[in-house]
Amino acid sequence: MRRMPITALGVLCTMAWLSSPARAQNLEQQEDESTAQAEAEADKKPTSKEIPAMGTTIRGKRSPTHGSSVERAASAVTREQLVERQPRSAPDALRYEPGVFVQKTAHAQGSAFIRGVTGQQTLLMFDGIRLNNSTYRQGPNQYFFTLDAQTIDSITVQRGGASTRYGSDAIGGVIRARPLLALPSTPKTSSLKPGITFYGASADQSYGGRVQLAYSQGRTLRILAGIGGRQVDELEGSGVLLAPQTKESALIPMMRDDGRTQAGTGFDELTFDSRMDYKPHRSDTLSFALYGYRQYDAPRTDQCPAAYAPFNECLVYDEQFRTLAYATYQTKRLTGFRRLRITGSWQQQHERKTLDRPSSFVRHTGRDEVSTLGVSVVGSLKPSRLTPSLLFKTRLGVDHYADTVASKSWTELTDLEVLVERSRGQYLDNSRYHQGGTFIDSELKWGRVVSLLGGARVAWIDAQAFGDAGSGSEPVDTSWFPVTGHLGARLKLSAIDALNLSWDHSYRAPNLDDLTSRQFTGPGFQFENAALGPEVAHTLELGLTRRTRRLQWDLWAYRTELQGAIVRRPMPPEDCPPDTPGCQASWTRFQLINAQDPSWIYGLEGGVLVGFADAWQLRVTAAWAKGEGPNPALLSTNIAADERTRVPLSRIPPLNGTLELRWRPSEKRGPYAGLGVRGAMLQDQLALSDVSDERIPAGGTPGFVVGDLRLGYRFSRQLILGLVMENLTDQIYRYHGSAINGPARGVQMRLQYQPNFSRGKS
Amino acid sequence: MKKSTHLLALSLSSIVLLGCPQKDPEVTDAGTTPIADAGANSDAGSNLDNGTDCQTVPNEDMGICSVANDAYLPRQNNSADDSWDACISDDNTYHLAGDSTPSSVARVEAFDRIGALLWDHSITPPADNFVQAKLIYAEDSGVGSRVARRYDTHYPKPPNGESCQDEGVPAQYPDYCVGPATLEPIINEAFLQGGQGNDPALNSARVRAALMWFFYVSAVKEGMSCAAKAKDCDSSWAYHTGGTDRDNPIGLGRAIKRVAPETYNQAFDGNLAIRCWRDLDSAETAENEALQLRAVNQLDAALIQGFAAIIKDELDHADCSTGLYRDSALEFVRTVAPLFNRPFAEKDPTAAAAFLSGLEGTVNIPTLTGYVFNAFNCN
Repeated sequence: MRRMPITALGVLCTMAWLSSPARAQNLEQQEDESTAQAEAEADKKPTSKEIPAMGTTIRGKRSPTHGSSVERAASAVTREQLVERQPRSAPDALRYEPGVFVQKTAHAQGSAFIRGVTGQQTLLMFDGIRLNNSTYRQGPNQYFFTLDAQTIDSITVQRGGASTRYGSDAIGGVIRARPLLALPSTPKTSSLKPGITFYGASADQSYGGRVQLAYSQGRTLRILAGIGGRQVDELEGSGVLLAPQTKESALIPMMRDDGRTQAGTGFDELTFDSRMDYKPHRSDTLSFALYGYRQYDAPRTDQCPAAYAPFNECLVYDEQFRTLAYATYQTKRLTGFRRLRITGSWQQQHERKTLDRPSSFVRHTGRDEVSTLGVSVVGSLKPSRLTPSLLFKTRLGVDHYADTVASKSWTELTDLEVLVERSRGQYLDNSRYHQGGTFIDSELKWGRVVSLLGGARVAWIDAQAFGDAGSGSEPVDTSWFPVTGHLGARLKLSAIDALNLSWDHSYRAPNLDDLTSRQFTGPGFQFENAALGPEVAHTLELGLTRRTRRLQWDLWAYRTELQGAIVRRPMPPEDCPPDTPGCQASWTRFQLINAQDPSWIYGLEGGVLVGFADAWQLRVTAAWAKGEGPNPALLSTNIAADERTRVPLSRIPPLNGTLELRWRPSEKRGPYAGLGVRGAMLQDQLALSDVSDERIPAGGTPGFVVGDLRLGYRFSRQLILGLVMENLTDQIYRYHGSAINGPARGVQMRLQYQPNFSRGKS
Repeated sequence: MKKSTHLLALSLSSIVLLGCPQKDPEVTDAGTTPIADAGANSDAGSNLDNGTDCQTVPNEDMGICSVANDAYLPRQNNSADDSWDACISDDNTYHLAGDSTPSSVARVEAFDRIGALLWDHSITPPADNFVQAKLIYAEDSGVGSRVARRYDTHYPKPPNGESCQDEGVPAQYPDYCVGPATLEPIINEAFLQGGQGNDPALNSARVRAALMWFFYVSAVKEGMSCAAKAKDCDSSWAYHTGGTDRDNPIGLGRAIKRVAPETYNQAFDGNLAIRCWRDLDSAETAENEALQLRAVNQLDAALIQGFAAIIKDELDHADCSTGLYRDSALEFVRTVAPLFNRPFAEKDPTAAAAFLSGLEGTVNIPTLTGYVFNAFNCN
């Protein structure tokens, strides 16, 4: 069902209202402040010596990564970069970040791999609130796509384990998005200013926009509200990808008659958001926020149609919704605390998907909803100086998130007009999942030379699900109480060079997807294991950084040991759960198990940023990773074909890198230009589940090099026209593990008028 | 400024109201009988005069055909007497080529579950049984999903790399794209009519006939595609036997074994021949096409002979029965006859044409039986 009329109506109504004369008053862009991650990241004034890793900043200006108590491997995408790069989505915004590899199962989806893992093994956050819930899958997922890139001020990627601070799932890293805020006006004045953005792209014939209103009353009250919409047609790629091994055409995706347009890639999108930040006192901030994302008719490309299936069979996410509402109170007045932030949140993730097989007059429908209530109290204590040269800092907090899952499924015989509810949905209906913990994180600074860090978290996780006799689904009633921690040191080798060493112990508790779900995944049918235990990661990380005004570089090496890694074990049909015919009839079947022996991921990442001739910047990044683990097939009965004791881990990205050359003579106005190049080598190190995954061509995913040209003009800080000529060489390319090829040669355009746009100081 | 604040609030409220999710669909009354119970509830229409059912006792009526000189003979001295090299099948047992039991077993089992609803217990299954059977047919990755994509390797591929999954191709190449072009419409219509309570005896026969031909085509097709994917050999064996040992087949194998036990065994020998070829030709993509064709042809010939025996048995059944029992058996033959015409015509094109035309209008069963018997007689 197409919902674009609703989207269009909403956009048009709001635009009509906005077209009335704006009663704007003085607005002064003064401040770059967010409540986002404020408990930790806005504590300190920036200095040129504390520029974040991986060269995302220059000229000593403030960056979203600023303020962490120790240098970890991290990078950030600023608002300004978002405007110039014109990513199609929040995941696409991460394509130039080192150690991040963005996979796409559909055009309406994107999943960032960080250090070789994704999905449940990375943590997504928005304004300090966990987005991950208990139904995040093992493989790639679509959920970061449900953040509207137009509402994001910046995205920080912290690579490596971070469970001490953020809890479960933060094994591979954490992606933290910060929202746009309205800017304050000058004291004793108020302002109301509309903003509007139009954008479009030729490769997918997409067009969309956002209108927003920013109201501010001095520094006391700030309100920002907006609505956006986008219509996306099928994505044109540059042709059919050939499998390296057979030289035959990849079966996924299905191509239209022109051999370039990829079936199952169009979708519609509606977003809305509003937030109010109120300062009853200059040291206190009270915020209320609501963010909504509505995606309609988004096919899962590798199932639209599946390999070998008729052209009109398609699995479509009719509705992919996310709603996040929260309130925060932040104060700097509490005795002993430098800052304290209290957050209460409610998030609902809603999915309705339909597998339509019209030639058989059959339609399978599933509806899954996860409601999450969250609360967190996080604060930083006032630093204490133990001796004139010893400074002690501490952060601490407690958080808790509670999920309730509703899940149903139906089969409809459309010619007979019969609809039957199945005994269970993808998940067990009315399952519940609680997780939380309390942590303390400290830093001991010895002069300007040495910093020692350490922290620990005591966590709790409780999973509850009723069994379902009809489908032989076991009940779940399990609790875990993991203890995690980290240690680190930072040694300033000189005024500009630093050596960073850290050890991190992170964890991921099995969630309701692991414990209860039954679903068709890319590699095959996957069924639950109610007896899973947590997986634990130990990461050792060594980094060298240099920071000067004109040159920054980072080099990081890491080695992660995963104990009890949750992996897919191939299963014979006779081991399928009862009354689950999709399992027996699937070509391949998997059950999640804890690997008995350790798995390893190790790699290198680096980046260089050079500023020259005032107006020019060159940024180069590269990442390499390798992962291997015990062969899960050896643990299966009646499965003995692959007798290797150790096999590659699934979908580890190949050697990949980026290059960005940027020319911008003036920060405030005038033209800018840039060249962006992304590349990856052939990935032929395949896990067992990769071989049966039709998204990955026989023999692996071919390498590629793709270039984009960026041109634009800043008429003022507020009014910007940008063009991106993407895929200049019309390269056929695909990110490893994706079901779609990248966009063909084409043009993206963006026209933006946002009076409050000033946050992009990079 | 107050006014604009109110406008702002109003605007925000309206935005929030956008994008509410759809309501859940309402379950219909029909089709709610648990599948496990549905087979027993199959006496609907028993008050009507369905006619008399005469049980045939077939036993290789058309004799035992001799196999080709180069056939694989695992039952004779463990293949020591034939011209094949020693291989994995010489112990007269099927050994999997793939990692595990092939998924096609589930589809053959689904056929038996459908049979329990539509033809094992009653000549007039109730409409709800058709609904339940369609739900089985429609399961994820179930038999319906494969009918929709099945092609017949006896016919030439469409040119220019076109595939039966492409729009319009099945209609252009109905013989090659037999699943979507021919079988699926028959099955869909039969389920629809049966689900609406129309002609249950005829519609159950149509479903049975179309699915059995699907299993035959699938067994041969998988034997061919096994050259590229070794585990497809397992699927060939499974589509024929249901993935069982030689003595206990289900699905098509059981149907053939009932009417022609030795022919069934010859077909099983064909499955072992395919597995033997893939053992001897074990490169990732097979290279010995001649040996593959020997093996697949051995299976194909036995299956066709078996199908001929099934058709003759249905004609015998129709000849000695009355009412719906007669009509149902004839409908089975009518459904499968156009599909069976290719191998029939290879034996005797005149008889094949006469057989097809003889099924129209008033039927002379002994004449039709004679066509089949004469063409496939191996006595």
